[in-house]
Amino acid sequence: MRPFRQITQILDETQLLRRFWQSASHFWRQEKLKVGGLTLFLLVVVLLQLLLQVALNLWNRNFFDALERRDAHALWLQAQIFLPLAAASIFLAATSVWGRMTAQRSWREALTRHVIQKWLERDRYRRLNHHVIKGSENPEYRVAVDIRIATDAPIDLTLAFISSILTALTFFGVLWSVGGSIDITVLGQAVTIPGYLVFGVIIYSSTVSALMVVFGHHLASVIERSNQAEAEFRAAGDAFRQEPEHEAAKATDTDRRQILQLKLQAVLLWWREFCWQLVRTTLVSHGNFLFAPVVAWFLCVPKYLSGAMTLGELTQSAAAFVVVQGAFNWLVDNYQRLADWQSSAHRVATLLVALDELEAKEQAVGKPAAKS
Amino acid sequence: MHRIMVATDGSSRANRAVDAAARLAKATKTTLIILTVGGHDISGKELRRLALVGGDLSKTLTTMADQVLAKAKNRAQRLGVSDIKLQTAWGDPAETIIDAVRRGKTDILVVGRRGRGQLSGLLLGSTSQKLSNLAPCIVMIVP
Repeated sequence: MRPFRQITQILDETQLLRRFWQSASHFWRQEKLKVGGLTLFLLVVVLLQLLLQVALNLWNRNFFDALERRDAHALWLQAQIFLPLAAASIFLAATSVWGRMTAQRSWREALTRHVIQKWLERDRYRRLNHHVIKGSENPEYRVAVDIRIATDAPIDLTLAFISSILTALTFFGVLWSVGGSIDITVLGQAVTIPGYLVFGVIIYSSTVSALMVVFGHHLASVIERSNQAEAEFRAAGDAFRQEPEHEAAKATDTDRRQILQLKLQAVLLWWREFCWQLVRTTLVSHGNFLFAPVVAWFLCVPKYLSGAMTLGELTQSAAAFVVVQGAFNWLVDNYQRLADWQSSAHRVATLLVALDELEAKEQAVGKPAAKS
Repeated sequence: MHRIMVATDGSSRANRAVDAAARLAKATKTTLIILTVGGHDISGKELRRLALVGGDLSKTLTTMADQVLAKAKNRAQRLGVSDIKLQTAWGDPAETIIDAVRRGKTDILVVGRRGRGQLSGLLLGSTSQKLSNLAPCIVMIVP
């Protein structure tokens, strides 16, 4: 008999993701009309949300300018403008949730049906336990939970990514035009920095991202190992429940308890490390939450004090700074979600690879090929 | 008296407990059971290394526990004990040791006063304190 092999010894990370995408992309390739319509709808919602964000940013400037002038009529007008803007923003946010979750549900359904078919066909679900490849334990959990995570996250992350890029580009324009240039003196020489807020936000965001990479560079791998340990813990419990009676008689309760205790210990240790990784990244993320608006205000204050910037322009620039900085932080904000997705996609892929091997064996012994 | 059990985590204080238990086992010509409750002394640095290389933590914990037992066995053998049994367990140290004592029908349990978890021992009460209160046999605590 061939020795058991770990799937991760046969395929590397890229190959596993490729195998995941091979099955996951069926949905995007086969139902072009439905998927195309949904994608277009989601992109339109993203664009409308961006448009509203720009409108709210402008409203912010006009409101504070009116406040600075103590102009009651203009303030009342701004209050009236705010209501439809807020209503549209709330409506779009709700619409976006519907669109995203509809796309996620449809994709999950398509991939789950595909994997269930492969898994149940020709009694593969029975043979999977005795298969020559290890790493595909607990298939029911992979079908039920990992597919959900693996199809949820890419839609949210992709939309957030597109939104971040468009937001950053749009608000760069706001920062460039409203912030304008600033004159500073370096070594006795007057230097003019055009669009200084754009450079400011780039430097600030790069610093935060670099800090996040330094503080949290182990986070993704720790999350992946933590998820794997949780899965092994569940699989160990399932194995006892499903073991045949003649085998069950051989093991004592102490043996079983020790195996579960060992798996639990691994889960708890990874959880401890996950906790420390989150503590480290929270130092950066919460620091950023506090500092980003203050840095923006401080960058704008010299121009405001010199009279080159109105109060409305100051608040507009500061708000734009925070928006661009938030867009820059896409990776930072989604680091944990990406790691969760990667882990689940791997687990779905390992199940698919194991099923592929069984299918290949069936074909080798002359049985008709199963549908994929 | 038939069985003496010593619990070790590989620390220097636990080594002193192993030595004391070994001398006692030799003098009384009884079986020495060396027990380690694994998984409590792996560092964050080692965990991060394992995460990067995709290592198997369960296997690493088992190997670490085996190493602790092998070293303790060597110490006991050097002191002239030949009838040695090794045992690994996982879980809360005090509860796991008491469970092993009950199952192994141990007559004397030997432990060090403090192992590696010195800070948590100060906060939560040390394993040796719990054992001296709860173990169903004679408990010898080695300072």
